Amino acid sequence: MSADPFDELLEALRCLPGVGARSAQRMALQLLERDRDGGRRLADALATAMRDIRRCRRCRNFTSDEECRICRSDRRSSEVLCVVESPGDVLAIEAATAFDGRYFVLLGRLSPLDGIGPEDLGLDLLGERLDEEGVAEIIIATNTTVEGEATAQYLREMAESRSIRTSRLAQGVPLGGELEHTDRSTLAHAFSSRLPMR
Amino acid sequence: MSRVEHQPGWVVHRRPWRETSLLVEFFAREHGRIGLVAKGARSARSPWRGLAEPFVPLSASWSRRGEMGTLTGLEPAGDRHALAGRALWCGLYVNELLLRLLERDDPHPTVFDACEAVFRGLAGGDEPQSMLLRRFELALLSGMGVAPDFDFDAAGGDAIRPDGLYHLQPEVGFVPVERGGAGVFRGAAIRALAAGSTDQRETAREMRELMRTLIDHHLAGRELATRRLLAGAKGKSTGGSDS
Ligand SMILES: [Zn+2]
Repeated sequence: MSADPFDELLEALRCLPGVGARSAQRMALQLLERDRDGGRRLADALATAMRDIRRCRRCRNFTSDEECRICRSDRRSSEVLCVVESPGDVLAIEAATAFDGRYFVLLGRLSPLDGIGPEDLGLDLLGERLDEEGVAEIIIATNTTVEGEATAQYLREMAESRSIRTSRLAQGVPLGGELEHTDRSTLAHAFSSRLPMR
Repeated sequence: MSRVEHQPGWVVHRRPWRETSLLVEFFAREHGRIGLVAKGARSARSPWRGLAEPFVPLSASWSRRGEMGTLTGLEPAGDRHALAGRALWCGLYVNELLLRLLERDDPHPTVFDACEAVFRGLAGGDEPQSMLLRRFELALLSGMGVAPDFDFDAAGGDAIRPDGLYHLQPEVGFVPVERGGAGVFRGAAIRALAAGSTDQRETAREMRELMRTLIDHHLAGRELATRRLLAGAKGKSTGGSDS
């Protein structure tokens, strides 16, 4: 006898972040009771995405083609390369800025104590791109965690050995934020890396 | 169940646990390395968010029954040591040594103090990183009670002579020999290490190898990922790695 389809669905839904037993049940009931079309669409979209979406062979971002849209575009500059940890970071920068260069997605960060080294982040592939594409500047947009900073240092050394300029995203007090409520380490960092007023 | 309040310490390492929690390896001055669960530490509203990070002096409270403790309080006890660039890698090397060489629940206050010193030195940048690391490595092995005698040789108990040659046998000590070779070090390098002296350019490489021989012996075949990182693998040979 096979498992009950309803239980199977609940169990499957729980692989989503933030979804526990209760929300899985709510989602399943919503689809079954009120939105069977939506449920079928979700099933199709998931099946297609899981089958077709892979990593871009140049930037490691997700794409359904050999190369992603940004890598293929001839309107993007090859001179500036922005290195990020995750595909979500690409979406965020695309939405918030007018950046017109290209990306490289590490899909992780250096974490030697967890056994994650340069070879796990496709940095050999990045090295090839730096050697071949005439990149003039690397924007290092890794997170400001210890691991993100350790990764930034590695990228900086890769760039320096090839005489490529690097820059790092500025870190400081959030816009609209009040000093009083800014956490201590952010404030300390913002203070020590303050800029002349222009 | 035991409760411990307001202990000075550091986060040596932490990894995500469940949806919003962290598993923290905490190094407390009076308790040694302990495993703690920090419940909800990754949720947006947690007061611990971003606090359970390496290189931040902390004051921690926890309760415990069995192997893992549960964090009940966490406060900053000072400003984060601002390690940047290679100094950050060196700091991670220190943490990896603590993780691989210290047993849990084994108090090591002298190692703790050496940790504080090496982080402060790395953040300050006034002394060569290599010297700071050598001093820490020696304090770590001494604290563990496994450092050989750096003052007297292991054959006749004579004082180590700067112009002598010595074969290092990790479990025995420095044995005087006539000729150089693998595992043979000059007395000058041994003396310089013992003195923690900072400007020893000509013995720096030898001191690194000496400490490495000892550390490798106690790692018993396990590799250090941070050492690979510090050795650099970017096709650019610097020849001056620090660990
Ligand atoms: Zn791409």
